Amino acid sequence: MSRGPGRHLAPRAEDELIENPDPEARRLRTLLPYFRPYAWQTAATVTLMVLVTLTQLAAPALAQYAIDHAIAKNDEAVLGWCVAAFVLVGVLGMVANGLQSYASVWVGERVLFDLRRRLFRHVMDLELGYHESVPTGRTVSRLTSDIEALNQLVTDGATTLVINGLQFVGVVVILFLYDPQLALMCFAVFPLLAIVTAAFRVGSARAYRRTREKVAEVLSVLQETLAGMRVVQGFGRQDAARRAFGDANVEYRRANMSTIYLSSLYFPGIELLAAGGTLIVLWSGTERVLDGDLTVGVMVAFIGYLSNFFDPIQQLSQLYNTLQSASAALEKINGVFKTTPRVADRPDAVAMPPARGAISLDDVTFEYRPGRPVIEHLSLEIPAGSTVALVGATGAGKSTLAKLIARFYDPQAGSVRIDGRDVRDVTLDSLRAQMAVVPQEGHLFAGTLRDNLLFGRPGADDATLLAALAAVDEGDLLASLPNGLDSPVSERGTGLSAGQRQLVSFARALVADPRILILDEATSSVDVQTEHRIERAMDTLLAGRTAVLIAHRLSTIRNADMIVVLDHGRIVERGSHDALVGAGGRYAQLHGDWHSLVDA
Amino acid sequence: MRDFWRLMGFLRPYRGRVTITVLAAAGLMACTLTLPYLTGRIIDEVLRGGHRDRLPGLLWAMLGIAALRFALGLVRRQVAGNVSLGVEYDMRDTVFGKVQHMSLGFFDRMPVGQLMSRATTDLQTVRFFLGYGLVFAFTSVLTLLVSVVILLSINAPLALASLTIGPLLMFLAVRLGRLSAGLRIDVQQRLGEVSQMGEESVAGIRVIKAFGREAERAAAFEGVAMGAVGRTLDVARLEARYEPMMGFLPTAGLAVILLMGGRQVMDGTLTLGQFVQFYLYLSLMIGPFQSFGFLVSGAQRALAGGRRIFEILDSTTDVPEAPGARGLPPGGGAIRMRDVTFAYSPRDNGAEARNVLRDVDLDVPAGRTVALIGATGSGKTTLTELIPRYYDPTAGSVSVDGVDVRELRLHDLRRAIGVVSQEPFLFSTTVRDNIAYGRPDATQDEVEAAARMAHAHEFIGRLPKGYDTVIGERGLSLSGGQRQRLAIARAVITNPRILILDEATASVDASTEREIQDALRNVMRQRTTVIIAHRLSTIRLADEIVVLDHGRVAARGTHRDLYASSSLYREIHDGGLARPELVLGDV
Repeated sequence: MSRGPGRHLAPRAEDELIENPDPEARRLRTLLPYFRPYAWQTAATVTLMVLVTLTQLAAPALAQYAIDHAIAKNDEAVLGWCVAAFVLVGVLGMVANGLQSYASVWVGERVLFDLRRRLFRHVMDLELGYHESVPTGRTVSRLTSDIEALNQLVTDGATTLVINGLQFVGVVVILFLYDPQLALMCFAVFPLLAIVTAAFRVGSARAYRRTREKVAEVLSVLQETLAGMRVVQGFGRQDAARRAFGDANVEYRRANMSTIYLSSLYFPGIELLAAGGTLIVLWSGTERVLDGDLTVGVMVAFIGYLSNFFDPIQQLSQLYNTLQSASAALEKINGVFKTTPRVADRPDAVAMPPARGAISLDDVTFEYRPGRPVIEHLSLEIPAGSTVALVGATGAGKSTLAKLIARFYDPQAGSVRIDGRDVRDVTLDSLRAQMAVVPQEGHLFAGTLRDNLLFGRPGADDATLLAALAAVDEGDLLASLPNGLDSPVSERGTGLSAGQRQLVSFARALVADPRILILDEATSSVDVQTEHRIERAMDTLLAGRTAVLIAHRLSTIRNADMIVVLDHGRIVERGSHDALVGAGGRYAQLHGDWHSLVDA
Repeated sequence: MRDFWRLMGFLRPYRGRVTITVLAAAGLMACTLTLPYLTGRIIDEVLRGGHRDRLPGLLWAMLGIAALRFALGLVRRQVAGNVSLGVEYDMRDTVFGKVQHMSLGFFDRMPVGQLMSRATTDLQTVRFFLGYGLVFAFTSVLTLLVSVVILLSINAPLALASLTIGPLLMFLAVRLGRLSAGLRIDVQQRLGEVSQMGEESVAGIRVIKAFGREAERAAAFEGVAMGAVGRTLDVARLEARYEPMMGFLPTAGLAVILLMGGRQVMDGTLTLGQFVQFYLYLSLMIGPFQSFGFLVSGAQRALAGGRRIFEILDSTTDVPEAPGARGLPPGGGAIRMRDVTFAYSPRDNGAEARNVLRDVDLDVPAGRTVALIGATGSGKTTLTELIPRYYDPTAGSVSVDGVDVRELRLHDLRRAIGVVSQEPFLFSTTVRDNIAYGRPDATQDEVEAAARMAHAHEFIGRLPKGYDTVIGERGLSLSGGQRQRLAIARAVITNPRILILDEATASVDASTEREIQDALRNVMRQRTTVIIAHRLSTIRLADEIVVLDHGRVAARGTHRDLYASSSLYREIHDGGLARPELVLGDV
């Protein structure tokens, strides 16, 4: 496989420019612990590799023996033995080769599976803040294309590396054993070889990196133009878009061409050096055979072994690029591992008992970036079973407050308590089992409508699911799906509009039957009629639950037990609708403004 | 086979260079084959025959051939590389050019992810096959043929005996290629599932965390990943069975040479040099024999990839430009729709086509504003997409300034229409470039004027780098209202006759709402406007209101008329339109 032309050019959607010139070997060492669970399998694989190499190295030696001791001496018996040994070694090699190739894939695949599993769990554990600051695509390529890059190295590459490395060393040893003088002579090409190879490594490292960068550019232009095709066509800018794409394409071609220049010099160059070595053997060997100083068999063996010497060098040089991409990939993966989850279970965290749902925030301060608090010294008591509406301008801290209650973030100072228990003292799983958050974007997973509704409470029966759907939808949604609850839905697939997805996401939260319900602009994408209907049903939906609402509609806000007006991370007013209007503060002023707008 | 020749067509511009590659490859092969021949002669003539004087000549010849081989190798690699990159460039450019002119219906059928994978992975397989695989196949066949001839001419019985491995080897290689092709596709499929699952989990992390389902999600992901591992191991098992056998056969051939050839040397029917030649030639043939499987599967993959690319190249646009299409006559942008019926997939076999619009008549006189209202799914957005001909109606006609849009040049029609969609797409470039997208030559003053008109100038000023701020850069996200105002500025800078606006449903605070209203009032002046309205305040800007219900026009008229005559309108007006939000705006 490693011989195939240019496997190394598999396009990678993105390569951040963080490939610093760290020694690859040191970085790749971080992969070693993943081999530990498979220590004996790994050892067996390496042993098999050694065996394979030995059988490969034995063939020319046996041929030499046959030439010198049987053919030259007209000894048919010895020839028979030689051929028998030759075949035996071949069979041994065949068996070892089969076992080895399966074993190395087995180990490699398992190691990468473990890595991928650990990475996925880590990604899931990273707090929301991480995911909000890192684009989805980048995290996904850690899990996919970066692992693939490592795969090339771990399964194919490692075999190539070990077998060719062993072969290279083995040949040197054997040739010196045969005839040190001749060996020294043909290794005269070695310094030249070392220089050429070193130059190739340096040059190709740069060239391949540039190629990877350029191909990423081509892909990003392509991606963006496709995504924005409506705009491109709407403004009739196809020609300009094509030029931009053409430019990226040309640059990629140019960058890639430089890798071709390099390898078109290097690989034929190695062959030339190999021919040089062979010529030295033929020249000096022939003279010495004629002088009776060397046998023909040894000379032929030398020629045979020399190709075993130069072949590994070519293979290893081709491997270098794989090694580089793998090491760049590993660095990015390790970067994710180095990010520790900021919100995690404490070692002594206990399971939260079934909650009543009283929420209290005590002197809470929170900042996303140091020195810029979004919530400042905020204290708030929400009695169990009551409904609180958070009101405030964009950036006042409403969503942040809701996320602190759900422990998506931990505050820098102060505490968030539920039923008097600090949320940091209980396990995240048990905490979240008691609450449901309906976010602004209703994300659905590929699967059926039922799968999605069951997400928060696997095992709920269909009646529960239908009841939850009925609470938010008059039946249009189900009617529009051909197979009812079994209809497939997906994140991007057609079928459901943004509004309908939000309704499903709302119903999903109801199915979970949480003690605490947090609605963060949960109905912003549904049409206004539907929203009104949900508002009317709100009393039933919220009965017996503690609810925190972020909403804009007066009708929703008015019915809350308590309205909390936030401004720049502080509570400026709190109280019931009537009380606040009566108090003549900011809420009252706003309410007045609103009336004047509506009545205008 | 037709697809194969069509693929070969992409080599046509490079005929000269392909010829050079083939010649270089042939020369290369000749050189490679000459070396064992010369080695044999050295052994026979110099070592055995004692002609020591012939050694320098033979060595010089070998050196010359090695140098020639270097030169030919260099040429072959460079030219072949050049061709393969050229093919890749051409194909990608062709695909891009094609896709760019496809109608939106095409993109409904072919998601961006699909197009991306065809323009990358599929293209690479084609490129490697056309650039390298073909020439490689050619030299392999040639090497085999020539070697066979040489071996037969040296010693026919020995050649026949040792070459029996050839067909066997080829059989195994082709069989492996065939068996593994299906498995490999399966592996690719499973890996695709792994990425999809990964992507979905990261995108939906908020929901996963909200319900504390991390562990279940991880288990599901591991299940999918393990599936991929299992398939990969299937391939590995198959290869572990076949490849070592293919590795052993040449050894068997060499054993035959050792045994038979050795005896012949002892008999004197074969010289030691010829014996060595045999040995070396057979070693040379191993590679080409083994590469057959690789070549067969490479060709299969390239063909499969080629077909997926041809599928794009062969698609036809749903909105073709009529031959002799004309420019838009002068006018104020009057829109007229007659009996318009529309279904997204009218040609769906079996299922009844679902008409999204039915018998719609609409007249918007030049310079006037029409507001479309109706529930989600009533066909409002679809209706507006027929005007710039993103789609063509299934029945009926749409005309602008008296001309059926199907008779107009697409470019002219669309330049005359500014579209602001509900969730506008902005390019990841500067704010300025985004606004000036339709008029790249616009001056800074013009850009600012458009931004002012759209009430965007002020918030742009508050961005970190003002008009030079790059949209979509880490940490910088614009609100829906801001994006829409940028899109409005982008639309008005081209000064279109017609403006189509799909208002965002998302809540905005009172002051933002006022800003948007002011912006709309500005840009609607002197223009024909169709606006999909969700807000009470927007409706007030319209000259006429059209109520859509399940794809039909249910009522039309002014607010006063409709409120008196239409119960549906009253229902929507009182309950279904957004009033300003009660939010602490920028107080």
